[in-house]
Amino acid sequence: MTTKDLINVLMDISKIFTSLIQIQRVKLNASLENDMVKLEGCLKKEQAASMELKGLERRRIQIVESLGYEGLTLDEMVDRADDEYSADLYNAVSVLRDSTNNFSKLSDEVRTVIELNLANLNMLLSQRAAQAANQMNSQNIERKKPIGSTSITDFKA
Amino acid sequence: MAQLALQYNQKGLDVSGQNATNARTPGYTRQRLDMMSMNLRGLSGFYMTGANPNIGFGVELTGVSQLRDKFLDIQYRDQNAKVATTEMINHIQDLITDVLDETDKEAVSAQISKIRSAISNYSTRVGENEHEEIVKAEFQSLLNLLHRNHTDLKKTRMDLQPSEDGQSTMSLEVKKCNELLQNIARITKQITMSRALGNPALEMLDQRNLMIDELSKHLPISVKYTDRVSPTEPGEKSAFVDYIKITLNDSDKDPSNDIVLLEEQQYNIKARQDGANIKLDNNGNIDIGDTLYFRQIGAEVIKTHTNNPAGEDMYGKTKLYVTGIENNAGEGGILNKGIFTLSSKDIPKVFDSTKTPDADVQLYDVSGVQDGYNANKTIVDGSIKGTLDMINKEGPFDGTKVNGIGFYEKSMDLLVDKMAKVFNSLNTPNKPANLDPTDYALFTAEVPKNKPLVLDSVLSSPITLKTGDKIPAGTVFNETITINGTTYNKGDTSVGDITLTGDVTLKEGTKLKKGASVNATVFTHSGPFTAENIRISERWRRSEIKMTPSKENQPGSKQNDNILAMLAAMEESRSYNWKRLDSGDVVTTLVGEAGGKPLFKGNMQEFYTNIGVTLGVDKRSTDTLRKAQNQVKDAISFNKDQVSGVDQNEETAAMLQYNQAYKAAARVMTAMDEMLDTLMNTGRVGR
Repeated sequence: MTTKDLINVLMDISKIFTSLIQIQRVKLNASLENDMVKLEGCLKKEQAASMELKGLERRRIQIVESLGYEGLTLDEMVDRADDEYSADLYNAVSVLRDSTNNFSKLSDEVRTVIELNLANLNMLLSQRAAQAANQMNSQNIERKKPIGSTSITDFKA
Repeated sequence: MAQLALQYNQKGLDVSGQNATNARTPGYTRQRLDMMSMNLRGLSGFYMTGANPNIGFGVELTGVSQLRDKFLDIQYRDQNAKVATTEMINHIQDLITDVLDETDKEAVSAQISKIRSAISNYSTRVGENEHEEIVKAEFQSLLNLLHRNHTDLKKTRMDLQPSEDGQSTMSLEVKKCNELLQNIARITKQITMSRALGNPALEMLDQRNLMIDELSKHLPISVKYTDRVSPTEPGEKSAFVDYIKITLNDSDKDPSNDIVLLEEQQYNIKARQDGANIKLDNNGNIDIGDTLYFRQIGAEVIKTHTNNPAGEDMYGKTKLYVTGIENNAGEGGILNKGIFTLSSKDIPKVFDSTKTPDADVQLYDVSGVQDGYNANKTIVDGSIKGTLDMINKEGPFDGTKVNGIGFYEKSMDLLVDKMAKVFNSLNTPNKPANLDPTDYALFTAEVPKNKPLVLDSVLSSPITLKTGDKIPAGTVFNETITINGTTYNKGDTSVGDITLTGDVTLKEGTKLKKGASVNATVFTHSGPFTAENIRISERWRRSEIKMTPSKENQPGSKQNDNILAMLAAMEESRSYNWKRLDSGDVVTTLVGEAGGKPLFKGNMQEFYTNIGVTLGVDKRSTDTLRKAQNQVKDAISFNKDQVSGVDQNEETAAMLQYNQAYKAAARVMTAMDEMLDTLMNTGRVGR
């Protein structure tokens, strides 16, 4: 296994992250529109991408071990690479870094929207609970009320 | 009971009216009447037997409050800061695009093609002066374009980084933040006073929230509120004190290290809701003492490379700091030590140097780049962060993730350094041996007066030094020379500092040691070459040297191998490796040279094109992120409006309800009146 193989596997990982970025964009719109079907579709695609990533990661580890780069950061690998490949490896590392960075930032946005939706759900649930409690009280009052009587202040402000 | 109902509905109408009136007022928060059902005063009494059902005494108004959701406030402000960061970066990338855009002006890339074409033509007409002049002219045009790009990038940087006239982007950002902080402090004091008198001051809270929202665009902040302070004395009601603390969000997540921008100390005001026992000072003002303080922020350009003592460190980092802070070395942009307080009199901006700032507050350098500077924290978001990122960070050159202006400046410098070194080297013939490359340099680097040389340098054109100037230690003369009556031998390396008592000219080839500086513009062929300093060498400009047609340099030969080698050099794919010098300059290194790091592989034209491609990719990423962040901000804003915004329909419905309820309450009174009338005028009840 050569540095060229490492460059190829890093570029392949970057491609998956680029596709994940597209998925995050769709996921963001789906979260904003509360489109559960689209959201589930995104989750399935994410799972598929995650499986691919796992495979590539195994391959990357094999290559790194065969090159004797275990425990090194990507930048350190660039420093150690053959002169012939160092610029290409640097390029692959930069592309990977950019794509993971963009993916992480977009994921943050999706997370914010999901948190927002959860907060909305919580609020709605507590409102429902309050309404249910009010209804229960009203029903109890209604039950005790003599037939034909009306309340002149029977409204909620 | 009916009277309370009338009062309640009257107030309810007032609140709904206020809401409806302010439906379009920026920052207005929907208000709500707080009430509670009045309890029985006792389980039984003289007129109340235990057998009767217990009925309440009506409704009690407890106050008017605002409908706000703290979670949404936090989300909104955090998102505000994120959007502002990305928008600022996007804006600055647009400015860089304007400089590097090659579509509507004479372009560097096209000029490189012209040079290639001119060299190609010359290779077939070696020795014909007019063709060499064309090559020279094309190179000059390229240098002019690179100088223009450099100047435009420098101007962009200068327009952004802190300036003395206060008109740069960063200066205006800082000014805006300080105005906001001061105004927030001012209104906080007014709110405190109003609340001490029992007025909820809701409209002032709206004003303050608007200002805090605005501040969150510039700086990432956390805001903590406490509405009431618990009573500390028996019989005292909880005081209506509005406690607020604004801290700066930074990379240090430990809350105990928070940088406090504004804080109202919690205190026990001697005030009751009815206004009794308010502590007054001698002038009759409410005395809240020095209980509210705020800091001011500042920004300045700092020198980042201590071994480059010349004043012109245009690549200096811009540092953000907060007043009352000093670094470990006790230096670095402290404008004031202390904190600003609001006294019990009105708002005067009192600077109190006796107050000791928090010891744990540290200097900020948003870039996070150390460079020997104490910068252990970075702010996380906001337009200030976006600006600082773009003026401080250099992407691969300083190991950061942001390709700021420095990245583009240094990339152009690398291109120029490579080109000059390759052509100077190619132009030096192989024969005779031990030629001085200075004699054949096509390009030289211009070092401004008194700027220290970054490398050992050889003068590529003579310089004249005037009386009083200093010839620096280590200067090696290329001839025997008499200065101040002392004769120095050619090649003598032991020359110390010489202060001139008369003018003297140092010839071409005079060697100056690294770190030397003289009061004259120095032209050196050693570099480092940058887009700013590269020049056509004086000798080539004056046609004292030619482009060397053949490395073997046979007089009268029509060989063109070296011209072809120059042509190949323009087209050859090569690694652009680089290293950073102590001065902060970035220079090319040979492949495999110690300390060299790769940046790009390709020919000259491809390298320049890649600079534009990098910018394009960055812009696209920023744009995608900006759109996504704005979508999220809109969603948060919508949710916020759902809670805090005024719905005209809802308010109209509420007004109708209050109106009906008011009538109903009045009807209760009428009914009670009729009942009393019946009781009083019919003798025996029920007869």
